[in-house]
Amino acid sequence: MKTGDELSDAPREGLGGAEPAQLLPSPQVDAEGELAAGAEPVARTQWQLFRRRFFRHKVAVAALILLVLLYVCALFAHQLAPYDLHPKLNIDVLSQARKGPSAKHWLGTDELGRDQLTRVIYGGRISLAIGLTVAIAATVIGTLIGMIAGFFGGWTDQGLSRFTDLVLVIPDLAVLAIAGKELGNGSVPVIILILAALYWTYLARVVRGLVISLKEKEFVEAARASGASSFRIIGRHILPNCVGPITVAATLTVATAIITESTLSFLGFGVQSPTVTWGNMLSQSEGTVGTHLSYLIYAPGLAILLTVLAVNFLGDGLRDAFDPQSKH
Amino acid sequence: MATYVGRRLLYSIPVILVASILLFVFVRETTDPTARLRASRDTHAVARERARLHLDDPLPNQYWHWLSDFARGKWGDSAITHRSVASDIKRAMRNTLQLILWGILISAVVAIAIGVYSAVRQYSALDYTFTGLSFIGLSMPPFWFGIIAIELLVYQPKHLFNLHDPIVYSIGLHGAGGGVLDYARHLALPVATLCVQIIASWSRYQRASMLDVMSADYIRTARAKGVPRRKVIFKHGLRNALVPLVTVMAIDIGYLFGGLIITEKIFSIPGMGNLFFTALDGGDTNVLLPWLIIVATSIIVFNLLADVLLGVLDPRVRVS
Amino acid sequence: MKRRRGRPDRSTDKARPDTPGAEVAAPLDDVDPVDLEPINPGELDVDALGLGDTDEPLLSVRHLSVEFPTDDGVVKAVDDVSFDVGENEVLGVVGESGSGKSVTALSVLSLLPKSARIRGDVLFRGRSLLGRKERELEKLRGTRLAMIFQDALASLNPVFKVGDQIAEAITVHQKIGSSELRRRVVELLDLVGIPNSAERADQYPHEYSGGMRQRAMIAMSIANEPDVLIADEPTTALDVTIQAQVLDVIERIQTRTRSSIVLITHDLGVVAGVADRVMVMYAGRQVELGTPEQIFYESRHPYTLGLLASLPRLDRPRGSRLYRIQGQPPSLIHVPSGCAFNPRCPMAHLPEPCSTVRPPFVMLEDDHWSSCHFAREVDPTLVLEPEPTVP
Repeated sequence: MKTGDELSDAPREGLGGAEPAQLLPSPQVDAEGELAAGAEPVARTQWQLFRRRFFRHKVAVAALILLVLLYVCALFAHQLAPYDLHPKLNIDVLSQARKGPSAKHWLGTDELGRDQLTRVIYGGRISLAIGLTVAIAATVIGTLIGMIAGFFGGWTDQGLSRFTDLVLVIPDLAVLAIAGKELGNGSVPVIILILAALYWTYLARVVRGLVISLKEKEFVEAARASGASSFRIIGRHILPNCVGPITVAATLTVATAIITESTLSFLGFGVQSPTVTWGNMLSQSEGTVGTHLSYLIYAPGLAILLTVLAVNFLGDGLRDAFDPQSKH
Repeated sequence: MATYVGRRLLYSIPVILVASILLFVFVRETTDPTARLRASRDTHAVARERARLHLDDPLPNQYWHWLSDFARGKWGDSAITHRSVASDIKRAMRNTLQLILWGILISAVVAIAIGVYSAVRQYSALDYTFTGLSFIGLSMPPFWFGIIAIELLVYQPKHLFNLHDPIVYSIGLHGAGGGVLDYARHLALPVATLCVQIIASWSRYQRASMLDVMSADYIRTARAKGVPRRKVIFKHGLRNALVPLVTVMAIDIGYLFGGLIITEKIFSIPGMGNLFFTALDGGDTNVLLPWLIIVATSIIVFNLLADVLLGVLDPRVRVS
Repeated sequence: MKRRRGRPDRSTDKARPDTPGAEVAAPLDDVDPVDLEPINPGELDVDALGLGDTDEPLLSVRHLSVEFPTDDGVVKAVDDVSFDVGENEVLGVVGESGSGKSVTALSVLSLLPKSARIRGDVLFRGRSLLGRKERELEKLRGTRLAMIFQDALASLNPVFKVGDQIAEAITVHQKIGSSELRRRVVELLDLVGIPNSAERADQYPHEYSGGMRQRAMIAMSIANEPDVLIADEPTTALDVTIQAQVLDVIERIQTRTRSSIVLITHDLGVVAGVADRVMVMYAGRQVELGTPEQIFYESRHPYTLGLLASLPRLDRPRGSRLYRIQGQPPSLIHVPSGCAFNPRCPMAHLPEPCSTVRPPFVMLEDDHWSSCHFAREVDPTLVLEPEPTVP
């Protein structure tokens, strides 16, 4: 049997026949043999099903729109921001200092008269970039390690799994703080690297579990029996079936990375001034709590909250769309 | 059961050892243990410290000396407080434990109640509300919640009502001798900050686990026997749904020992997190390594506890 | 349809010749007829529940329809099903998976998920059960109406001891001292043939074998001597030899407790030896109802005939091919118009009336019911050929 045909057939079990089967024995189960023919239409149906399920999750769609807007804002910060990020501190600017929200400065100004809205827009650049790159890097590392451990099993798996356990035991915030202070000295690439080095474990575990269960599936055994190489089996049979869970896990990593980066910057061990991030904006305005400048603490925190909330809802919608049976 | 626990225990020992090697190398490579002494320009003191830590030996030797000292309780002195690191950690641990204890107690009760309710009344208005709130809780940076809480619950009411004292304090654990009420007023905000994320995460977990259990065949069996609904939920449902939650709780608690850096810093609680922050900020490297090892060990210990609890709660795990 | 225990005729297990090559189970004579303790009729209090005499049938299902709204459309799991179960009667319900058997059973005990939309009525001793308060139903469940489920491993609570789970079935309905309770539990385990019952009572479900778990389920369901016992595929998940043992236990329980039994199965053979009447279901509808003789020898529905013909039989020449019903069972979301079976029926008159008019479920002669437009013209020889000949 041609192995490629089964590829698109396999995930249908999890997607297509799922909902009625929850309630009662689905007649489609009896029909397995007949429905399997023809890879192309099945694959298209699957994508349509995914889209239909995702777009029905209204909150996730709203979250996606919000995230797109946030990234657009970050990309075009220069064009969108109403003021200069680092204005020359002349008398005009300083005279605007410590002003609460107004028509001129929607979010008010800080002690030096800098426009809060401008700073929040620019601050998003770093936070969003770090979130995305850390997630991509962690996903690549985690998928690779999880895939190798799960597929080859035996000692390879033992070794890699123990290594994963070890990373999980490390107190992450503390190690990140030390590394951020002593190695990075506020440099963004270093912070991205350390975050990715700690956050791949979740993905590795997810992927390893998936690969182990997929390895037992008939279509993989059939491919193996027909002499397909390990590389081909992983590439054509296993990886495509992991796309859903990996995407969801990667999305959640974006959320974790954004929160951790802001936490580090808040503690003063992350990105340093004059680079603006939401985290170090809050670090600078923490002292305004209880004073009339306390309006400064709301906008950057709200920006973090909204971004992470959107990412989490997006992840939730993706999970529902990929696997409607899961109840998280 | 005994062999099961024994095996897990044996497995934890090499994990602690290898973790200690990793952390040792990491700290030695990133920090300079003599940085503070160097600043004082006392060359003798620097030399003494270098000799004590065997800094001129190769790294494996350094580790060996450090490990044997550590095992014998010689953890060195703090460069800031000039007290022994061990006693500093012990004192900090006592404060952190209070936070953790109240935090998990409140979180567990609230999260289980929310989780059970949301699962039993799935898709009800309150279920949606809890789901929304838990998403917000999970997405909220803890430090921001702390700051906002101080602003809105300490300063605003104080201004508003012209109070001499705020209703709750923004500085924790200074209420020795002030009675239960004073203790609660100090702990309320830090514990709340700590609880937000934990409740959000545990209640989601409990809801999912309870939903899973309530659709299980044995729940239907219990109903077919004529077991009243309440008893089906709490005896058959909750008993099974708690198995995964309790293991997750145990693992999460392990991470709290070193995970309260933010909460303790914001509310100035002299616990483990604050100890770490001041040590790192002040270049007090003698504290860092023992601190990391203790925290990693508590993570491992609570992971072990999770395994043991799983064995206790699920008879199927006991035998295998 | 999978067959584990083909039994197309009414001959009992033990009378069956052990023909080589037959696709039947291990010789059932070898099976130890279960260490069933002799039953002492005085032990269980048969009259305690006050079985009143009424003219109404014990259990009566009237025009029952059950629908589940799903993302892909409305699943019509049960569609206008009516039947009665009399005192001390065994009704066999047969159909493929997805034919609505289990959903019918669950609606009798009102155990369907909340999303289910139910129409029609279920009457127990003339009183309607549907729409009753949960509290009232709880009193009936386990005492008057009890159920045995298919997958005993999933149906027993993994964290409680088997004995405690059986004990609970008793204690939710009556106050009883602990030593008396313990005695009853052990006695019930004995009754269903579990060896070392006293020790076994203190074990967890995962320590039991598959057959033993099913027996424990049975013990639990008969703990209060129910009037109606619904057995939902009680033998499907079991090995063939164990199936026979479990069926034996059910039969003995029946003679012992005088319960009426609704025996749900996809296996005609299981039903043949046990049932007083047999109901055949297809795509959520009932297609035929009658005595086993009527169903097995004078079937008046092409679907039943197809089922019968697809069973391996010893009285057919060796090497002859088995009959296979054409096509696939329909989706319950898009049930074919007219007769649900028409796309697969070798006798269908297309398009009129088979694909346009839904055939009524009517009585043909002495309580033999069928829902086929051409019930009187159904000729067993037409479809019993190894290869179907489409008219």
